[in-house]
Amino acid sequence: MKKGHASKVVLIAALAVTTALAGCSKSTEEGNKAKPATSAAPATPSTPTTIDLMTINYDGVVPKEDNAVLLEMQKRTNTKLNINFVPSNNYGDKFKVVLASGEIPDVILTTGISDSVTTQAIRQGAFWDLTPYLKDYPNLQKTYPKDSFENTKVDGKIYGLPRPRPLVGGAAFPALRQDWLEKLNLKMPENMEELYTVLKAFTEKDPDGNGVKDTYGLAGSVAEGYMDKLVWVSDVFAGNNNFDIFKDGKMVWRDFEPSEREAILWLQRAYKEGVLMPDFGIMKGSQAIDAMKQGKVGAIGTSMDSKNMGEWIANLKKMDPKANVAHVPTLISPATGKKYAIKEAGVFGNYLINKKVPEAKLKQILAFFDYGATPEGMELGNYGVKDVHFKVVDGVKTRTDEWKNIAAQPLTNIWTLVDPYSRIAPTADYTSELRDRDKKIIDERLQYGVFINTSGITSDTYLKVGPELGKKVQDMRMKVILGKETIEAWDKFVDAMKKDPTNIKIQEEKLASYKAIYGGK
Amino acid sequence: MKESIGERIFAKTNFILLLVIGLVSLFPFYYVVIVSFAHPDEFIRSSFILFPKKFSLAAYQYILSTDIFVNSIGVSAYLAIVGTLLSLVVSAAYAYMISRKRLFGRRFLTISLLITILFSPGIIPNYLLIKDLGLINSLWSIILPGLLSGWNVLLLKTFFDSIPDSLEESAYIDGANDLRIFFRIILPLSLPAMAAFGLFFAVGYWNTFFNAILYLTDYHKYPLQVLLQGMLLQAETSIADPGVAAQQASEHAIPADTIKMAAVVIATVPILMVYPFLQRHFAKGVMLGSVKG
Repeated sequence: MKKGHASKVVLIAALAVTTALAGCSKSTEEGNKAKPATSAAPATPSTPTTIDLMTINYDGVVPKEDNAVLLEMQKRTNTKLNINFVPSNNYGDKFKVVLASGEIPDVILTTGISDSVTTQAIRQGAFWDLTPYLKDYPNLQKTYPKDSFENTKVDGKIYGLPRPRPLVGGAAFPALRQDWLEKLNLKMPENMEELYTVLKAFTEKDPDGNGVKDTYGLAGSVAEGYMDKLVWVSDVFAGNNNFDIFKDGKMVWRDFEPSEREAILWLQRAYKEGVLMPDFGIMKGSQAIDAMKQGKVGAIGTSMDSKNMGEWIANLKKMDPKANVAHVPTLISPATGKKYAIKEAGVFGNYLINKKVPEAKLKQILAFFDYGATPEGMELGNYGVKDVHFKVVDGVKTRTDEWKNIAAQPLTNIWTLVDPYSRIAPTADYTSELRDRDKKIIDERLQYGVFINTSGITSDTYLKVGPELGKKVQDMRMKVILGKETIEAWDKFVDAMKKDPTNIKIQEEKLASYKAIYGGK
Repeated sequence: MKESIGERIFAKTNFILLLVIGLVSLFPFYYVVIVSFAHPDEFIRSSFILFPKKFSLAAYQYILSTDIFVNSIGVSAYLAIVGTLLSLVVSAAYAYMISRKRLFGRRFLTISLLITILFSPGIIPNYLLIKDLGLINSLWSIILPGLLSGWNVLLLKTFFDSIPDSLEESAYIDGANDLRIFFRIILPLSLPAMAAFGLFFAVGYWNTFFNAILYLTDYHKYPLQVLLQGMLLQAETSIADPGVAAQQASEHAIPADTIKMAAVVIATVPILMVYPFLQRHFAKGVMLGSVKG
């Protein structure tokens, strides 16, 4: 599909959904009449409930009908699952056409509940409002993080069962060379000033001990209109990771807040004193990571997953057996004065239930997911049967070849594994000891992490001129960091931007959009 | 005629220069093949390999390990053969039709064809159409929408235009009807064009990807490209969902690039093998319209 068609397609989709819904509300009534409402407790009928389900698939393979894990899932919940696994790259397109066609399966996964297409369908009544039913399903409430529900509400109601993800660890926050820290007798930094001291020491005190001043404190990269691998600096200074902030009844662009000025000054100093790799402006993100892997750099902003950490440590150990990388748990935000770490929505998509499904079946579907939220259910759905599909090694579940042979991996998208530590499953290079160390960091970040939900906020004007504006801001910011312009020039620029009619219009549109999605609070 | 020294130097330089350019343009293909066979360890260590020290079939094993691989090759082959044959017959028939001046409503038919070239309805109307025709999850949903391509029909029409009317007239006088003329005279005469277009169609059907994702729900019916893309995704682990990436991290050791290259080889080689057989016609076929008679 060509880009230009996108808006037309959305329009047609909306039309199609409306027409489809006109037909479907009737059938729901009929469905309700035909089946008298059963008692509130999920009944266990003798014949299995058939559930049509559409979900995403990150794997090339698809589980077969006789897949042992799938059979066991159906047996335990007395269901018959017809699952349509859609390859992840094209999930969005397929989702839209299925929505538009009006023949929506019983359960469908949306990857963005605040997408205009999804929100519109929800408002038109295509899906069940789950809010009144959830109280009967204790496992869903107990197991799934509250944030995951909270962050995906539409008009204050829960329409989709979240597919939870860990709340911390996926977004960039600095990680640094722990062995260098120990060698130079420094402690883990707690605020931006201490972090700067550490990075400066990494640059100047020859932490790799080769007698040559060939190391840098910090690696980073920038993209067009975006600070890419250095954006965490702005996050820490602001105390949140949102580009649009709702403040005093207005939407403000974070780049024009005083906190951004501080972040720029911090980076300017880092660049001037050689702490920041000098060619960060032309480097790609992957090159910054390579510099870290090769031991040229002491710190980088990165996500916290065992795959990266394992790879880095393995590479660094070839040069220095003591090499180690550790994440900075939290940093005190100058704007708020409180400990800050980046936090995410804790969700990647939601399962929506078709309004055409009668209420009795809705309860059976919820019971199905409720079982999936129990420890046994989660274990089955994500690891299979013990000693057949997984083994417990050092207290960590490791999948066996049998799991791979029956292609059970795609099933893990249904009964989501809720585990704040799932990103740091040990690999060959990332040991259990490292996992124990990092568990504490995750706990601390969970406690102090900040996430403000603004997903789905749009502005038509921004769609048109946003990229250009962003580029302008980024150009100015880079000039100041590189010392080609003074910070006063930035102040002047910000003043001018705040008075710019286009920018004012964007903020007004964003405010309206924010109010429409999240209410006026 | 004896060449002067200058001419000889010029010829030699030309030869060397062209040789170098030729080799350079062949290199990417060579690289794809080499990397697909490279040993994972070696590839991880040095990301650029000119000639691998150790060959390995790990990437191919990984792709072939899926039990639906054979199945999906079969689907792709079926689509390519059936789709191409049907496309050829339908396109040729349409093109022949509008190339004959005696046909009533010829203008209307030509214009309807032009409209399909200029305007496309977009994916949602297409999906609704396929759904209402009851073709969801049927391989016909891949074959039918692409059966007639306006652009190719116009090219074929130009080819048919070059067949003299008098040939047809004499056949008519000898007692042949329209169908007989089309199948016994026109089609055999236009073999070069048919071979060329057959190849276009075959490549198109072989590479079917997006429609398959939209219209097919049963994975037994997935063509090769959908399967390969899935294998690649798994190897690269999704950037969009880092939680999944970490879960999968420990589970395969073959670098994504190696798998990517192997996928390219697997996807390209079968269709590449058809080329030499059609090459002869191909040159003739695509030259159509280039000489005015």
